[in-house]
Amino acid sequence: MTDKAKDLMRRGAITCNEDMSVRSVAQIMVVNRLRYTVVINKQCELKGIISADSILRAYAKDIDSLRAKDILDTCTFTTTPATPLQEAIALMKKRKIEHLIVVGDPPRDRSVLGILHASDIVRSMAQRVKGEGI
Amino acid sequence: MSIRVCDIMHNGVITCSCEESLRNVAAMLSDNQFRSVVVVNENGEVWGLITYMELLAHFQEDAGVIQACQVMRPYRIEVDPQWPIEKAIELMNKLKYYHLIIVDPHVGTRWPVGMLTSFDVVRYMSHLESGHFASFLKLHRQESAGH
Repeated sequence: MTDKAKDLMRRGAITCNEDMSVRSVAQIMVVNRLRYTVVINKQCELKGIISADSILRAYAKDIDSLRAKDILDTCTFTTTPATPLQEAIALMKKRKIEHLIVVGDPPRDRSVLGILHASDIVRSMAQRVKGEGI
Repeated sequence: MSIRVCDIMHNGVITCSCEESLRNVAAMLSDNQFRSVVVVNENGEVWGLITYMELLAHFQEDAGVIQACQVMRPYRIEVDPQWPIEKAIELMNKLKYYHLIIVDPHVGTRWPVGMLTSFDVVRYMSHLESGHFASFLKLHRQESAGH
């Protein structure tokens, strides 16, 4: 039975720099078929996250001059690999978010280790179902 | 020329009946790599929507006995494919609904013909056409090789 965030998280995360243009960020998301990208600064520190919804709110603005740092969501919710899955899911439900950034052991280590995404949890539900059906 | 909803929406949606079990809905989403399933009534008309958030709420429960109509979000928004895209985006931002089901008003029923998500708008805003993906990736690889 899966019970830790590390069992379902995706290792690594597609990142962008906070000084990139919003159009470049949109291109990164489209090419990688992602609905979010993690924003870091030059020191590779986590600054926030940009989702497709954040970019949508910038529609009709000049997204070539607008920077990632102008639209990023700084209110990022994180988890650790050792966090019980139930706890991580409860946080996602409470905050109505589809992804959590998995970081090292805070507060000493804030490096981005990966992403826990709702799609991975749903896949686990479907696989559990298939397993039971056999 | 103004861009319309039908210009950037994706055609076709994945549907399920009100009685479909949640386990089948999870499998539909996972197998097709979709983010939402449209729940339709016996006439094939839009009834509700199930996204990841509705599924997450029932992670620990027996998904085999829960029906789609018990967890779906009722859906009563009507979006015409001929709407200008700005109108649809305004609606998305106002309601915080990032999956708009598109129905064809000329058919006379609420049959879903497609869906417009925030990702479709981002793809349009990025100015990247499908055929340009390869060249974009190639460009990145060349940049990486140069470092």
